[in-house]
Amino acid sequence: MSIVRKVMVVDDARVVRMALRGIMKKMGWEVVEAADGREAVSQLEKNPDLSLILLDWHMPEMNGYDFLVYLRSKPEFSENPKVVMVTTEASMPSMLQALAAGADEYIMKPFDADMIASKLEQVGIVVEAS
Amino acid sequence: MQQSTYDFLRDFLVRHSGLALSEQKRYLVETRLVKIVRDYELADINAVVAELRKNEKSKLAQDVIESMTTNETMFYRDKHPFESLAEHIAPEMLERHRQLRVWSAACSRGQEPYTIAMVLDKLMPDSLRRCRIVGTDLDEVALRYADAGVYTQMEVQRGLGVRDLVQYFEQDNVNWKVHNKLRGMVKFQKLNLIDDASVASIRGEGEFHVVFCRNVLIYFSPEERCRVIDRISKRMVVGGYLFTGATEVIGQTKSEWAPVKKGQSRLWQLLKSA
Ligand SMILES: C[S@@+](CC[C@H](N)C(=O)[O-])C[C@H]1O[C@@H](n2cnc3c(N)ncnc32)[C@H](O)[C@@H]1O
Repeated sequence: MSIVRKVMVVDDARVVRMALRGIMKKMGWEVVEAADGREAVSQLEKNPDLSLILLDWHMPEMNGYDFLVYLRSKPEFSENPKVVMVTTEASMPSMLQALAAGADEYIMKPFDADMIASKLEQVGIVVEAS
Repeated sequence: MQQSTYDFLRDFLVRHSGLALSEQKRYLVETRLVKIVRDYELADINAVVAELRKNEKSKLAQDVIESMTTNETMFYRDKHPFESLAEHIAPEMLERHRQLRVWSAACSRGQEPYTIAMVLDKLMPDSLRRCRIVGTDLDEVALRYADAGVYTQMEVQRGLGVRDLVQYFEQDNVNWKVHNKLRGMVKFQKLNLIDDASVASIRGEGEFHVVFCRNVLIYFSPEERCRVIDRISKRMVVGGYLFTGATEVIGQTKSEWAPVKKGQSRLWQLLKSA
């Protein structure tokens, strides 16, 4: 028996959301999506039981960093869900900025399923073989 | 490739690297030699073997050996050996010894010894002074890569967490370079595990307290595996620990070992060297 966990995939590129959805579904996760930070805010209200967010940085409307700051400012979300940035923003200062704002892990695109699994383990999520 | 050619290659590889290939690996060998044929602008595989027969110590010979090695590795591979090192082995050894000497005996591109360096650095403020890590491999190309300590974006995202990345690496264009502090803790050296003289020549500042010999024994014959373990035992302190890969067990060696479990890891403690 395994508990189904819920992840929100936030990215303005549909292909990226689809790729991440595929990877997470294969690992047995329930997936909800958002195309920018503002959509992520409303998804969060509808899904307070999220255990993970895979978060792009550069998006129209509200970007991933601003969403992260918003999320962690809520006492009920100060530690959970875990947040893994998934972004083309591949610089040390960005990483430090995201960590300081409460991100748990950081993935520089491009990614693959192994990398996602490896990063989930880093945030203490046990990955079940599919 | 003719049978006699393949037989010669198999024999050559066993004698120089210990790599024991079965009859069925012929296709694999052919595939890997294609690159040598191209690089040296030779006619075909037979020409490569003709060159090998002339001189087994040439640059071409080294390139043939390296083309057959599997360098697959990653930071924190299997994770639990490094937790065991941090939580059990290193504290135990540091209580008894002023300096901790660790050998990564088939280090490939360096992820294993640098992982050891990160683990030890987190345990003590004066790691640079108290720890000596030696990384060795047969493959010169892999060793040069390890020594430079520059990894691709892909490599630093497999096994390595972002906190280690920001703490122990600096950005180098699209790549990531290991900090000088870690590089100061690790020294690299070419060493062939199947060669007595080569193993005896390892530079350390004494016998090793901990040895990682993982995911390399599988390529050797059972007899060679035992001889490698015996050679390694001679470079270790009695009571020292050996990590092997998950499926790599110690058989009928001259050296004596006790299987122990530390945390999640099963490893070997040296009772008597060969
Ligand atoms: C799969 S890698 C293992 C790397 C690392 N220990 C790990 O577990 O991730 C195997 C390495 O063993 C090296 N090797 C093979 N035969 C060897 C020999 N006779 N002496 C020393 N190194 C050897 C190869 O060059 C290769 O880099």
